Amino acid sequence: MSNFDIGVAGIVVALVLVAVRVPIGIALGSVSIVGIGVMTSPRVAWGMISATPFDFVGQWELTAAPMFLLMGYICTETNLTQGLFHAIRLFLWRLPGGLAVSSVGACAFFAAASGSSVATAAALSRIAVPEMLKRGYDKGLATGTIAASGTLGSLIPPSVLLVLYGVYAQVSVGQLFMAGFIPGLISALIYAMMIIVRVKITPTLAGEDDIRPSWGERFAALKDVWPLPVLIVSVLGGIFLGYFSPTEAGAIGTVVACLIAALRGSLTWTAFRDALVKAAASTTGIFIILIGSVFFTRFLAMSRVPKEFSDLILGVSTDSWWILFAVSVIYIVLGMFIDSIGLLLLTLPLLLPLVKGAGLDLVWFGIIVIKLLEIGLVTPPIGLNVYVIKGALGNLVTLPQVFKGVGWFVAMDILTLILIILLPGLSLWLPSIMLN
Amino acid sequence: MNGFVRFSMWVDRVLLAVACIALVAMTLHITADVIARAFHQQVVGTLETVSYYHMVVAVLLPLAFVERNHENIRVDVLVQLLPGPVQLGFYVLACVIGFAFFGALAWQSGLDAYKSTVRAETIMSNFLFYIWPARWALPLAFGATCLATLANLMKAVGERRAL
Amino acid sequence: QTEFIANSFYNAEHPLSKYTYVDWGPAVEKASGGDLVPDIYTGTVLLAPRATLQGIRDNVVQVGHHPAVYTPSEMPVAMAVQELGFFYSDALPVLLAVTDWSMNNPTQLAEWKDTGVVYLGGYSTPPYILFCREPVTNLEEIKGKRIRTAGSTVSEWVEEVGGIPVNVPSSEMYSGLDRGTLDCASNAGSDLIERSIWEVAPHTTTLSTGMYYSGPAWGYNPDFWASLTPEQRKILMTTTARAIAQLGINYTKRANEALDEAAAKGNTIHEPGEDLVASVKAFQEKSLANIYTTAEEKYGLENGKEVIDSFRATVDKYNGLLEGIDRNDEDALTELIETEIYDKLDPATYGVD
Ligand code: NA
Ligand code: NA
Repeated sequence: MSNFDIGVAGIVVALVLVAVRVPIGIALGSVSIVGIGVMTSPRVAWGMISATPFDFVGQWELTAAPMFLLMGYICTETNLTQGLFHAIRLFLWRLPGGLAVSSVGACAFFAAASGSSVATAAALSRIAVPEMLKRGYDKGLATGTIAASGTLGSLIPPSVLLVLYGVYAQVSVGQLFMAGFIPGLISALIYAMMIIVRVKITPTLAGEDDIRPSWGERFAALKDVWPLPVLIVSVLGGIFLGYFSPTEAGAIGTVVACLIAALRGSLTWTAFRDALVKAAASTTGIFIILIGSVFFTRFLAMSRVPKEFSDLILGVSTDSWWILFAVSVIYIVLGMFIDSIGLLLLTLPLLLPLVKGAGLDLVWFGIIVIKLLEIGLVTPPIGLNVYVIKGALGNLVTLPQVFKGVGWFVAMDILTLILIILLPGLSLWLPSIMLN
Repeated sequence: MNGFVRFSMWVDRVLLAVACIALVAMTLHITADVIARAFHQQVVGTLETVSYYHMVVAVLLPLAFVERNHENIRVDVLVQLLPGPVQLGFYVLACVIGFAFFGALAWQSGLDAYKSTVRAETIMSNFLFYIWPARWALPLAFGATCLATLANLMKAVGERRAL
Repeated sequence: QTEFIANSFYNAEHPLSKYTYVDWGPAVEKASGGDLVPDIYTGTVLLAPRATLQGIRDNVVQVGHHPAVYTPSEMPVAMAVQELGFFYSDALPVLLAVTDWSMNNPTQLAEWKDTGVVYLGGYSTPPYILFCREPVTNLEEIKGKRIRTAGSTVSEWVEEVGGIPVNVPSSEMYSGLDRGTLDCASNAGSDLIERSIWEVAPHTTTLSTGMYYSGPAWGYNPDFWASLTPEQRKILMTTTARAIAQLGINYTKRANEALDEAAAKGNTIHEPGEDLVASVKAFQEKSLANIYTTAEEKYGLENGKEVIDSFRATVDKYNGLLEGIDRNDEDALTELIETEIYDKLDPATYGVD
C-alpha cells in the first residue's frame, strides 16, 4: 500500500468510526496515529504524540477561544440577554412574524458578544423558542430561525472560527473580525426579509401574534436593554481604540459581563459556577476535536492526499471561479457530516495552497469559508446547531421538524454566499478603511 | 467495582475544578495586564504564563469529566436507528478505541513530562521561563480520561446498554 | 532512491524556507541524479515550530530547521554563543562562522550529539531593526515605548533605556502595531514588506538590535544520517554550501530592498540618533565584560571563556576571508564555503558514531 492509499483508507475508516458514534476527536486522532505508524514506523507515531498536543494547546492566540466562550456563558447564566430580546419584540410587534424577526435581531446582538455559533443558538433557544411556540408559531419556523440565526455567532465578531482561521492561514485576526461584520448583518437582514415575506403569504406560520403593547410598556422595556449593548461596545470599542487585542478581548469581556451582572444583582454563585463549568467543558469538547484534527492534518499531509486532491481540482481549471465553486461544493457536502471546527482544520491544508495559487484574497476567502461552515452547522444529518436546539427543547419538537424549518434559511444562506462572492467589497471595505 | 467508579468520578470533578480555577486565573491575568498597560506598566510574563499554564490546564484537565458525561461531540443519528445490542457493540468499540487513544497519549506525554522535568525545560522569551511543570497536566488529564472511559465501559456492560 | 522529509516551519516564501529548503530540495534531487528525493514541508503542517527538535529526534522528519532559542534548556552552548547576537550587525561573516564553528568546536559537537541532531549548516538573520508607529530615533523618544523584542539581551537594553520590552507572537505583531498595543517591533528588514508591517508602522529606525543564528538550519536525524552512503552525504554537503551562499546573499538583499520599497510607499526610514547608538555601544561593552560569566552561570558551561573566544575568533576569520571576494558573487561565495568548511569534513565519518 502506498502512502496515498493509506491516506485514502484513513479517511474512510475515520468516517466509518464517526458514523458508529466514536467521538469525532478520538476517531480522527486514533486513525491518524495508527496511519502515521503504518506509513512510517511506530517510533514516528509516538514522536507525533510527543510533538503535538502540548505545543498546540500552549498557544497565546488560542486563549481567545475559552475566554469568549466564558463570556457568552456568563451572559446566558446571568440572564443578560433577555431584556434586549423582550424590548425588540415589543417594538417589532407590528411586523409579520415580528417575534421571529426579533429573534434574528437578538441573535445578531448576542453574536456580537459571543464567539461561537453553538453558544449563540443555545442562548437564544431557551429564551426565544418557547416564546414563539407559546404564540402558536410554526415549529419549523420557530426552531429554524434560532438554528440559522445562531450561525451569525461565527460571522459577526468576535468569532472562534475566525480566530482559528487567522492563526492557521496567518491572516490578521483583527482584519478578519472587521471583514465578517457586514456579511453578518446582511445574513441577518436577508433572514428577516425572508421571514416577513413568508408570513405575509402564509399568516398562520406566525400563529396569532396578539400582543399590542402600549408605548408605556415599550419604554418600560427599554430599561433593561442596556447590558448587552454595553458589553458589546466595551469589547469592540476597546479593540478599536487599541486598549487590548482581539485575543485579550474575551477576558475583558468576561470581566465586564460579570460587572454588569453584579450591578443587576444576577451574578449569583450558582450562575458563575455553572458558566465556568460549561465554558470549561465546551472548551475541552472543542479542543479534543482540534487536537484530533491536528493529528489528522499531519497524517493527511504525510500521505500527500491533499496535494493530489488540489492537483485534481487545478487540473480542471485554475480559474478563480472554478476554485470558489469547487470549494463551495466541498464544504457543503462535507459540512453535512463534519463539525465546523473539525472541517475548517481538516480542509485548510488542502485548500490554502489552492487559494494562494489562484491569488485570492485570504481575508475575503476566510469570510467565504466561515459562511460555508455556518451552512454545515444546520444541514442534516450532522447539524450541531439543530442538535443544540433539540437538546434545549427536549420533546417539544422533533429533529426532522427543525431540519425542515431550517431549509428556507439554507436557501437564504446560499443567496448571501453568492453576494459575498460577487461583491468582495462587502468583506474587504471595512478592513480597508480600518487601515487608513 | 462501585468504589472504582466513585473514585474516578471524584478525580474528574477535582480536575474540572482545577480547570475552572485556571479559567478564572486566565481572565484575571489578562485583565491585569491590560489595565497595567493603560498605566505604561506590564505584568511580566503574561503571555508565557497564560499560554503554557492557564491554557494547558484549562483546556486539558476537564477531559475526563467531558468523556464521562459524553460531552465529546459525536454523531448519534445513524446508531440510534440500530437495535440495542448493536448499539452496545458500537459503544464498547468506541470505549476501547478511546481507551487506547487516551492511553497512548497518557503514556507518551508522561514520558515527555518526566524527561522535561529532568532537564528542567524552559522556553526563551525576554527571560528564562520554566515550562516543565505544565507538562504534567497532560498525563494527568489523559490518564484520568482512561479511567473515566473504563468506568463508562463497565457501567454499559453491566447495564447491557449503550451510554 | 532515498526519499526523506525536510521541514522548515517558516512559510514557503520566507528566506529561511525559500533558500534553505524550497530551492534547496530540487537542487539535491538534481545533483544526486534523482537518488536523493527530499519531500519539502514548510509552515506548521507537520510540526509546531517549538517541536521541530523533537520531530527530528523521533525521525518524524529526517531534516529540519530548529532555532536554539526555541529550546534553550536543550542547547546551552548554542544559546551562550547566541548571547553575542547583540554585538554583530553583519550577517554574512556570522552565517559562515556559525556554520564552520558548529561543525568543528568539540563542545558544540558534543551538544548536537546529546540533543540528537547532526548539524549540517547554519543560518543568520540580518540585524533586527525597529519598526515603529511614531518616530523613535533618540533616547527621549524611546522612553515608555512598548517594544516587541525577541531575546533577553535586547530586552535588557530596552529596559535600560526606559522602554517596555514585551513578548508578542509574530502573528499578533501586525494587529498590535495597528491598534497601538505595541509601539515598535524589532524584526529583520524583510518582515516590513513580507508581514505587511509597513502598513501599520510607518517609521523604521535602522538601529541594529541583534541578529539570530543559533541552532541548525539543517539538523539531521542521526539514524537517517548514518543510513546514507558517504556519496549521498557528500552531495548533501555540496548542495548545502550553495544554499548557504544563496541565503547569505539574498536575505540581506531582501532586507535592504524592503526598506526601499517601504520608503517608496511613503514610510520614513530614520537613521538612529547619536545618543541611541552610543547607548547601544555602551550596553554592548558592559555585556561583553560579563559575557564569560553569562556563559558560565546562565548556561552552565564549564569552558565558557574558551567557547566564546573561539566563536569570536571564527567570526573574525571570516571577516578577513570575505574582504578578498565579491559578496554578491554566488559562485565565489560557494567556493569559499566549500573550501573553508565542507571540504574539510569527511563524509564517511562526520556525524556518524
Ligand atoms: Na460572534
Ligand atoms: Na451539517
